[in-house]
Amino acid sequence: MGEQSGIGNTLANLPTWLYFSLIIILMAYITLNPLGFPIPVTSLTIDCYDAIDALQPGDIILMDQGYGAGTMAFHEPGFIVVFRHAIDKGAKVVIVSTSVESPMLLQRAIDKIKPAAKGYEYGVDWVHLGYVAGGEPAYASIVEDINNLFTEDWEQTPTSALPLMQELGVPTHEKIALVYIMTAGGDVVEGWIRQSALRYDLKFITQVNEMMVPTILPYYPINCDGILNGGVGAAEYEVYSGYSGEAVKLSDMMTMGGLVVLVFLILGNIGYFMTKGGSS
Amino acid sequence: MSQRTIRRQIPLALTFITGMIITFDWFIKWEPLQSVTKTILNFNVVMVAFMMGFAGVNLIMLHTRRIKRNMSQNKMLDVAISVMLLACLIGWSAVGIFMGRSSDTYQWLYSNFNLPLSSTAYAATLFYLASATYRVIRARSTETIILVVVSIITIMSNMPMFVTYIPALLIFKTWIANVLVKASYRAITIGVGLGGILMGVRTLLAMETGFLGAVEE
Amino acid sequence: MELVAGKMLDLVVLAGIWAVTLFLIYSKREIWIRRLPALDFIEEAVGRAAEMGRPVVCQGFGSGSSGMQSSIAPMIMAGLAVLGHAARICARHGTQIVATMRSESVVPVADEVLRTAFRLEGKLDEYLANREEMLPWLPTQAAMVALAHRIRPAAHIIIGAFWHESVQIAETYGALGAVQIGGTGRLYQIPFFAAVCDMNLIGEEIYAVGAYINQTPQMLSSIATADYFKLAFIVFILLGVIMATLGMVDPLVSLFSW
Repeated sequence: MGEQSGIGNTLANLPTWLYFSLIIILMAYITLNPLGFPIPVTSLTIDCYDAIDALQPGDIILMDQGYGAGTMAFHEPGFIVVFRHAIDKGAKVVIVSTSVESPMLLQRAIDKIKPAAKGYEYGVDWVHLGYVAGGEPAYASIVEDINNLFTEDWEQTPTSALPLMQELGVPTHEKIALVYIMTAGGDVVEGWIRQSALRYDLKFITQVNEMMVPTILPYYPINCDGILNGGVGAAEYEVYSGYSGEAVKLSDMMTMGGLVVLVFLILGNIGYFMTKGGSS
Repeated sequence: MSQRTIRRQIPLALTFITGMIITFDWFIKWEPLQSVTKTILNFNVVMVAFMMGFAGVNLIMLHTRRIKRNMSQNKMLDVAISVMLLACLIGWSAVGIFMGRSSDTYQWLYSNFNLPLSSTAYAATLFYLASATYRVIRARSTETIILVVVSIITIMSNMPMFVTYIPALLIFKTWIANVLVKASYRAITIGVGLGGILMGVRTLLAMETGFLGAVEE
Repeated sequence: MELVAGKMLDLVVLAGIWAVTLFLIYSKREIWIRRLPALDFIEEAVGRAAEMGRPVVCQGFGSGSSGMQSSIAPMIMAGLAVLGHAARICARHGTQIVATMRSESVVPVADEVLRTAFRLEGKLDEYLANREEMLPWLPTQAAMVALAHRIRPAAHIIIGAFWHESVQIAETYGALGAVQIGGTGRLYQIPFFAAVCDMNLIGEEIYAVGAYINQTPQMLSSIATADYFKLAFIVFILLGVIMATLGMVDPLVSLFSW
């Protein structure tokens, strides 16, 4: 019993450096040696795919590329795969950013997508308008009259010279076929849902962190047509759509991260029960 | 005009007027009202952008004071940190203003400093999450036993590895998400939404003056 | 001028909220709200900090680039109300309070809240002398974690709007032995606070903070209004469930698109 409680005590009180080191070792291992686990596709992702697949040539998607460097690892693959799908459907894309860092990250993604190689012309088929401050009032302005809010794009070209922006007109929401939001902020998604889906009944899909999905679930499927569940969702979209991308490669790392948390959850409870059993 | 009028009555009146305009715009389709609302919303965007500039000025003032104070107390490490912060702030702003935000230098600075630092800070969440999970989530009572069981199922069902070989996990996860989570989150959302509306009503009626910085006496 | 289609029900509900709130205020009814143990615990937490000679850290004002202009403004204001309350108790006990914020729009407001709190306790000089320590602007979660290790607070009040940084912050302060009082309206952070913090305000309880602290008839009336409407929504939901089960969906649909 003394020996048991000794083991139990150890399990219940592992030093911080030990489990931090374990995390580093395990994550480094899986990064260097991905195991290639299969990825089942869930209904949330299929609904996102169907929303993009239902678009007709010439339909306009409003994308909020609202992720930063912190969540770029999974948001960028989600952005790339949806943009590629939109290009294949012939849909036009208007990109705004509600995160300060996002415009800096867009070029990386565009370099991977290569829209020009697929015949997509900037200003005609897609535009990048850059960062907009202001939160929900800004989203309201965007769907009402985007040209009033953005008089020039990220490269400081007047929007009056961009045919796609002129196509949007007033009220802007009448020309938008789908809104796609990528963010790590729950109030950003809810703000967009309020100002686009609830207000004007626009089709709405989003890619959020795994932990935010329960917050958006109440809106699904009535006001939110699909949810990409973080990196796992992006990987599922890549598998389902057939586009190869970074998310599938990252899925093993995401699995390992979850496994680490799971192991510590179980270890902590085993240690607790062993010591509790010893003391009682 | 007294200080009280300037510091309280005018901001409260402005809050009421703009709040009512935005509220009515949600319900009423009227061209003059929409035009005023659009102007107010654009004002908001400009003010937020201006506040970022104010934030930079505030930071410079704060750290300049700190440098003076720490130098007098011979805390050179703290001085070095403040100097580094100011150098980054001023240097980066100068590059952005004079070379442009699309310039190679600005991109280089962002890709080699901001990007790895932000990613690292976010990635560190895994360590703290694992630490908190290990340290805190122990099955001490009936509720926490349920918490542990549901946590295990949810974590496993978010991992493709487990879902592939144990498809039943998806059924549990879907049930937990569609019944337990949706129901409770809808209830909390309704409550939070109502609370937010009442907070708005209190603000417009000048009952909640926290944004003016005054504690009720 | 015309009403936007499908918004009549919203207008009726909103008008009802205003009407009931104003009625309750002017009727001067006695309104009782239940105890919020988390807020009562603040005094205990500050007392603990005073005994240990350690500061109290108060966080929660803004997240990312969201501030008083965003949809999280109600949560920020709730956090500021708690800050004012905690600051008064700290001033009374002579305990240092450190307020951190991530949003620039909150800095002058929080400064004013703290200044007023200390002035009301007759300790304005003490506040002005320590002002920088009381308002460090720490824009990242790493800085907040570093603050914890540097000053080792005895109490940590974390009420407001948070994103993922709450995981790091609350865990660090908890591991360092601070008693924690947490609360947020951000649904996806509530489970984490519930697990890590000693006392919690869940969801809309943070909006009752102002009313609970001040207990003025106006504030209490608004809390009572929220509760009456929640009751009405429960009745409405039950009615809707029965009608939907009986196949009478059309009246419901036309009500919501009224």
